[in-house]
Amino acid sequence: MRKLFLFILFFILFKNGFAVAVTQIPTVIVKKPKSSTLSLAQKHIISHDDLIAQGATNLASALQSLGGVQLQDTTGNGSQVLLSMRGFGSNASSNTLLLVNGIPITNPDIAPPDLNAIPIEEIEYVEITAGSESVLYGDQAVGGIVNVVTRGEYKKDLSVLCASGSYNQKNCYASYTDTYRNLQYNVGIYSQHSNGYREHNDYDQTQLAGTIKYPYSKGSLEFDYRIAKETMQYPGALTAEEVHDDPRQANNHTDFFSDWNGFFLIKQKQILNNSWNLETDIMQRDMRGHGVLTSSFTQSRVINYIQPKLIGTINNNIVTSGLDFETDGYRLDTDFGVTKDHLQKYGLFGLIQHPVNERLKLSIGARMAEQTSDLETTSTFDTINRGFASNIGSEYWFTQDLKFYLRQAGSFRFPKADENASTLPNVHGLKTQRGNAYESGLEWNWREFHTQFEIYQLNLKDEITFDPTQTPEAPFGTNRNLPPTTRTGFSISEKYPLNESITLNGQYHYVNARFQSGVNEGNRIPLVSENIVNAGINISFWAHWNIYHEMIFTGNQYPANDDANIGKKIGGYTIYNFNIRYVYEKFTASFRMNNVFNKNYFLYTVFQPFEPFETFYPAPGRNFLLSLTYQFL
Amino acid sequence: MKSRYFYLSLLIHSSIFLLPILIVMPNEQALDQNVIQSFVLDMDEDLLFKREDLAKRERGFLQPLISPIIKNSNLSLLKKPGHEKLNQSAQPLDPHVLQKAHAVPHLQSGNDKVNREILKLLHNQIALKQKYPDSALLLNQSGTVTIRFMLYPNGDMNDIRLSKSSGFDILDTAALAAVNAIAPFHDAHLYLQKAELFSVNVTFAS
Repeated sequence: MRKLFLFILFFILFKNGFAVAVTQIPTVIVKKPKSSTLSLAQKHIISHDDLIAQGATNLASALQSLGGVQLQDTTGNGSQVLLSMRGFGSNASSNTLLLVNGIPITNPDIAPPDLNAIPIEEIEYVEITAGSESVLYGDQAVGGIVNVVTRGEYKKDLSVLCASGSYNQKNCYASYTDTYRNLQYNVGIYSQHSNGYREHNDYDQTQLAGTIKYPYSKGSLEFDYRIAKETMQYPGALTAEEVHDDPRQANNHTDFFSDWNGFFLIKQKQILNNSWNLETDIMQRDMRGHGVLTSSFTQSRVINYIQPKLIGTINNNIVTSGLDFETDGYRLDTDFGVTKDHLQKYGLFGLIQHPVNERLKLSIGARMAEQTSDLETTSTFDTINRGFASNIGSEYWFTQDLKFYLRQAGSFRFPKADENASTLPNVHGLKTQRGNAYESGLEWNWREFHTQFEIYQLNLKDEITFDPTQTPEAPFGTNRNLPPTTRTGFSISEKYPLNESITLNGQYHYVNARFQSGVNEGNRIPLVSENIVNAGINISFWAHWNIYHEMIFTGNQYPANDDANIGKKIGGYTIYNFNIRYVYEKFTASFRMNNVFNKNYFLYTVFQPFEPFETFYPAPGRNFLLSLTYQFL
Repeated sequence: MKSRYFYLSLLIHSSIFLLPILIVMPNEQALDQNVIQSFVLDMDEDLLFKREDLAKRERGFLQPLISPIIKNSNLSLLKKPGHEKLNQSAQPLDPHVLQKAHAVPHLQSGNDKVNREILKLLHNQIALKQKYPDSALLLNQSGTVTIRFMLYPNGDMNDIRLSKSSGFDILDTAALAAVNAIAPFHDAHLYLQKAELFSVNVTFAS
C-alpha cells in the first residue's frame, strides 16, 4: 500500500512538476514568389489568374494589355508580332528577348518568334523584365525580356476547352496530366482556326505538346516537346483609299506561309550538395516552311542550343556561372536567289550577388560572347562578331515591402543572317550592336497592392536597323549600323485592390526615342509610341461571376520607314475590351469582346519613301469569343 | 581568325567557371552530415514527444551510419558560415527534458480565447518576418522547418532551436532568423504568467 502511495505521489509530481508543455503555433506558410531570376531589373508578373480573368485569347494581346508592351502585327493573328519595349521600331523583335521557361527563343533571321506557339492555357505566368540583361541571357536582351513559364504542376487533370467566335474562330484545347510511379507527364493537343478579319486572312494551327518529368533524389530530368503545323494567309497592306472603301479587303489572294515547327528540350537539374545545383538545358528548334510573297519561296531554320549552368552560394553570396553554345542553320530560297547562313554562338557568363546586410544587396556580373557566320548569298563572306556586357547594381530595402534599386546593365545584339545579307556593297558584315542602360526605380509590394516606378536611359552604339533610303546600289534599302542612339523614359505601374471584389490595375509608359545624329537627327524613331497607357478593372460578384474591363491607349507614331518624319503621324487610339466569366465547380464559361466601340485603327503602317503615301494593315473591328472549359478530373 | 585575346579570355573564363566546382567538391561530406543531422533531430523530437519506440528504432538504424561520419568529419559543419545556430540547435536536448517532456496541446492559462490570440499574434509576427531566401528560390529548395523556443512573460525568447530540419541549411537558417527577429515579444505579459515552450512549423512551399 505504501509503495502504491509513493508511486502515485511520484506519478503526480512527474506529471505536473517536471512536465514541459509545447504549444503549437499554426504553421507559417511561405509561398514561393513567381520571379526567381538573379536580375535586379524591375519585373512585372502576369499570373495565370490574370490571364484567365482578362479572357486573353493569345499571348500577344495579354502582353499588350497587362504588360505595357507595344505591338506591331502584320498578320492580325498574333503569331508574327513585333514586341517593343523601351522604344524600338522595326527592329523591335531583335531587341526584345523571348524566353520559354528561361530558354532564349532567338532566330538566326529577323523573323519574330511565334507567340502562338504556347497556348494561354499552358502558361503559369509571364515575367516581363524591363531593361537590359545580356549578362544572364546574351544576345537580344536589350530593351526587355519576356519569360513565359509553362505550368509545372502534375496533379491528375483532364481538361477540355472549346471556343467559338467572330470570323469563324474555332479553338479547341485538351490536356491530360498524370503521374505514373515517379514519372510525371502531361500531353496537350491544341487546334485553332480563324478566317481572320480580312479577306484572304485565314489562320490555322494544330499542335501537339507535352512534358515528361522524372524527379529523383538528387535532381530531376525533364523532356519537353512541341510539334506544330501552321498556315497563314497574308492579305497585304492597303492604301488609304482602299481602307476607306473596305478595310476588310485583301490586296492579293495568293500570299501565304505554311510551316512545320518542332521544339525539343531536355532539362536536367542536378543537386550537387546543399548549396549548389548544376542545371543543363539542351534544346533543338526546327522550322521548315514554304509560301508565296509575290513569288514562291521556301525557308528553313534549325537551332541547336546547350547551356550548362552552376547556381549556388558561397558565404551567403549567390553565384551563377555558365556557358552556352548555339549553332543555327538558316536557308531562304526565292526566285531572286538563295540566302544560306551557318551561325555559331558562344557565351560565357558569371554573376554574383552579395548581401551586404539585411537591407542592401549588390550585384555584379559579366558575359563575353562571340558569333561566327558563314553567309552565302549573292556573294560569300565569313564574319566574326564579339560582344561583351557587364552589369553592376544595388538593391536597398527601406522596409520589408519597399525596395529601391539602381543599376547599370550592358547589352549586345549580333546581326542576323538576312541583315548581313542586305548591306551596302562596301560593308561585309555589320558590327555588333552594343548598349549600356542606367536604370533606377522604386517598388512597393504589400499584400495585394503593388506599385512600381522606374526611370531609365539606354545608350546604344552601332544600333542595327533597316535604312529605307533607296539608292541605285541598294534599290530596296539596306541594313546598317546607326551612329549612337539614346532612349530615355519612365514607367509607372499600379495594382490596387479596392476591396475583396474589385481590383484596379494600370500602367503608364513614356519613352523618348529619337535619332541622335545624321540627317535624321532629332526625329522620332518610326513605329514607337511615346505614350502607352493601359488600365483595367476586375470585379467579382455573385460568388461565381467575374467581369474584366480594360482600356488600352497607344500614342501616335510615325509609320515604318519614315525616318525623316515627313509622313503623317498615325493614331493615337484607345480601344476597350471586355470579358465576363462564370465559374461553377469544374465548369467555366468566358465571353470576351474586343474593341467594344468598334474603333478603326491599324496594326501596322508603312511609309513609302518615293511614293508619298502610307499603306495600312487594318485592325479587327468589334469581335467576340465564347470559351467553355470543363475539368473532368 | 580568332585573336590571342579571345583565347586568353576563354582560358580565364573557363577557369572562373571551373572554380566553383572545385569549391563544391569538399562540401559533399557536409551534405551527408546535414542529412544525418536532420535524422538526429527527428529522433530528438520523437523523444520529446514521448515516442521512445520510434526514437529507439531510428537510433538503432542510424547509429552505425552516423558514427563513422561524425568521427571522420570532425564536425566540419562548424566551419561553415551561418551554421553556428544550426549546430547549437543540433546539440542533443537536455536529458532531463528528453526523459520527462511531453506535449501539451494548449497553454496552461486554460483560457482558449487568450490562447488563440497569442498563437495568432506569434504566427503573424513570424509570418511578417519570414521571406523566401533568394538563394533557396534559385536552388528550387522547399520544405518544412520546425522551430522551438521558450517565451517568457517579459517578452524574452530563449532556447530558440531547430527541432526538425527541412534538409536545406538555407531554409533552416531563414526560419531561425525569422523567429529570432520577433524577439523580444513585448505582448507576452498579456497572455503568459510563466515561461512557455512553443513550436512552429515554417513551410517553404514550392
